[in-house]
Amino acid sequence: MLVPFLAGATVMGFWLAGLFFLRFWKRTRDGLFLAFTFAFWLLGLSQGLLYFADVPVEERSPFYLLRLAAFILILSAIWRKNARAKG
Amino acid sequence: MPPTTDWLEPTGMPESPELAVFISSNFRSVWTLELLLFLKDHAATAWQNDVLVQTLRASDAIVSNSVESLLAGGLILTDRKGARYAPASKHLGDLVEETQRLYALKPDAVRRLIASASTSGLSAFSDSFRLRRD
Amino acid sequence: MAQMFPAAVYTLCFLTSAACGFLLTRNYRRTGARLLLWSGLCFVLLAANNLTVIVDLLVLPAVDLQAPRLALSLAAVLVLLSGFIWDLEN
Repeated sequence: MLVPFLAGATVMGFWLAGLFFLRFWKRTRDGLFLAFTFAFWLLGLSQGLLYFADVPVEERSPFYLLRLAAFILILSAIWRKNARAKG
Repeated sequence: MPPTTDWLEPTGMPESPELAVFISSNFRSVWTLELLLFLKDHAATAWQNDVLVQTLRASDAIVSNSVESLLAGGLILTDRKGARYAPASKHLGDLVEETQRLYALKPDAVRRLIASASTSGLSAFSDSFRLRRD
Repeated sequence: MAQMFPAAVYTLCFLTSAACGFLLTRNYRRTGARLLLWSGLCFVLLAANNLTVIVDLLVLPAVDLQAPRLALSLAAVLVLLSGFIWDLEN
């Protein structure tokens, strides 16, 4: 009973966090925030898919690749921010 | 929602929240604003970075970083001849005009807006990921 | 070893989260912007979540750590959202 509760709340939390980052991007036009938007949405998506696919553990499904994509997005945004600053 | 004016002194002239956000998100330092206004007042020619360094008596890093961020903000264009004032839309141009007027009238208010941006909120978040300190 | 690639992925995620947490809290100490404290804490919790997954996968495969993992990521987004709603000036 605890797991469905946590899973649902977490998915919604990631969705909202992404929305905030989207709003920040709209305000500042800083690509970093757009990357965080999609990263958090990917994390929420993987959590949600995991729950509905009834997969007990993430790492035995392809869904952990969504998590990988999320963090690669973040890393590339940080990279781009610093690469441009050097120019 | 009424505009919040807690960054102004009580006797200050309230600028629109949109202008405040425009100023605080586009200009990381007063140098960047000065550079933009210089390019605006001399919009007929393109300016190379080294000429800007000499004319404005700023450092290479400040000029190149400012040009970089103004370009990203859609306020100038650069090509081989140099940088040139070129707001991406009429709306942006209007905001620059308003900023210039406000800066002439109340330079301290503008400086405060610019300073507050780098130490609070979103700019601080974004700046956290700059690995080099300059 | 079929588990090596996922373990490597989670290690990368752990390192990235930890790095973000570090960068944000470092800048919080410099600027005092509270938003950075909360978002930094969020990434530290996400790093803890990733670490727990690695532990679940490699160290304690017999134990189901799903609830702690979920609790950590939920805590992470709760802290982040609270920071956004409470401390973000308009």
